[in-house]
Amino acid sequence: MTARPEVMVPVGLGELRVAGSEPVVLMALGLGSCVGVALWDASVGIGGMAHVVLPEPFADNTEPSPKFASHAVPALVRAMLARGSCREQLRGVIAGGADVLSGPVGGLFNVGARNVVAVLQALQREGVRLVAQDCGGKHGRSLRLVLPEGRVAVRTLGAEWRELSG
Amino acid sequence: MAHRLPPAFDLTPAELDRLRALCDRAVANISRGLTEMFGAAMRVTALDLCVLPLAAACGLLGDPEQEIVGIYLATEGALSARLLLALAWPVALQLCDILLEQPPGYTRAIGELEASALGEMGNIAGSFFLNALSDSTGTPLMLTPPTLLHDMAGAAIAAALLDVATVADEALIIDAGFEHAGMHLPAWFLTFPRPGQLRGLLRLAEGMAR
Repeated sequence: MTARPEVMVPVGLGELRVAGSEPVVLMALGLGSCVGVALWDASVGIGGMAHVVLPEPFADNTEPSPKFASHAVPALVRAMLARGSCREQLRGVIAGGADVLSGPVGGLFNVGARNVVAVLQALQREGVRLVAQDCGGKHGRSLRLVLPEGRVAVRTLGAEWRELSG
Repeated sequence: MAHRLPPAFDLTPAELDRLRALCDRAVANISRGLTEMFGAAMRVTALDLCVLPLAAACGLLGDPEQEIVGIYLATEGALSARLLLALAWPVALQLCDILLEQPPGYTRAIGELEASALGEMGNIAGSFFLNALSDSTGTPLMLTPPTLLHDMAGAAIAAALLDVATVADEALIIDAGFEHAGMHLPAWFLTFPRPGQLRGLLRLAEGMAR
């Protein structure tokens, strides 16, 4: 019997994707100040990923969007619970939040670090257990989540994938 | 009650055509600036104006993990925009050879001297672009000093898009490619203007044309 080929699913800027039961690799490629959030529930083989761009909206009346950490994390958890995940079984890994440009980026100070803080706070509010993180620094990285196993890895420019959880 | 984000780039087809003409002149001016810098013709090979969802923007140059050298600049004044001159890594090295008058293949890494030369190139591209826009609109537009980054293309593009992302889910991208001495350069000049200012800019250009 031959193994089914893995389907690569890119998760673009401000996107959120949930998958499970079939072999899928969710990938957030070229994360700079953005933060990739990978969640999975090993008991049912369901996982999801969000590509967070900003910590939170500037105005309270902004429509919810997964580009904001404060919206993306609860939305990702809700989407996974709707697919049959159990909140207590959810595990998380985050990567990104680099300071790729020194000084203000697009008029925003320390946006990478602020993204990381906002994601960590949102994960805590949702009661998701964080098992690993690879954040900060000066360079971009990519994040991948291999399903249904829930293997998470990161890589930086020119480097091999490095497993963060198994 | 939650409100939708305002339609980001609600320009009519006629306004888009006028914007394209304005950018055409500005990008042609970049060619002039770079030609003076290189001492050999530098030609704009393509100019594209497109509106892309943020989700697709990181793949604008192809593979988001592609190694690039980005020269990042920001404008101040009537147009708040982020500019990114992105060079594929081998092209950045090749350009360093040309700029520093070294034999082809000499540059293997980007040190302080090479970074300074590439920064200057970005500065010239940005300044000539803005000067043409300033002339067309009668409005002073200033440029911040260049910041160089060597990273994945996705990371560089996201940095240039952050300002737009605070208010919109789409980005209007002005994209130009270059040719030097008959050779296509995998280089992109990307402009990410903040929404809401383009119509004002077009009005100013219209006023100047009268």
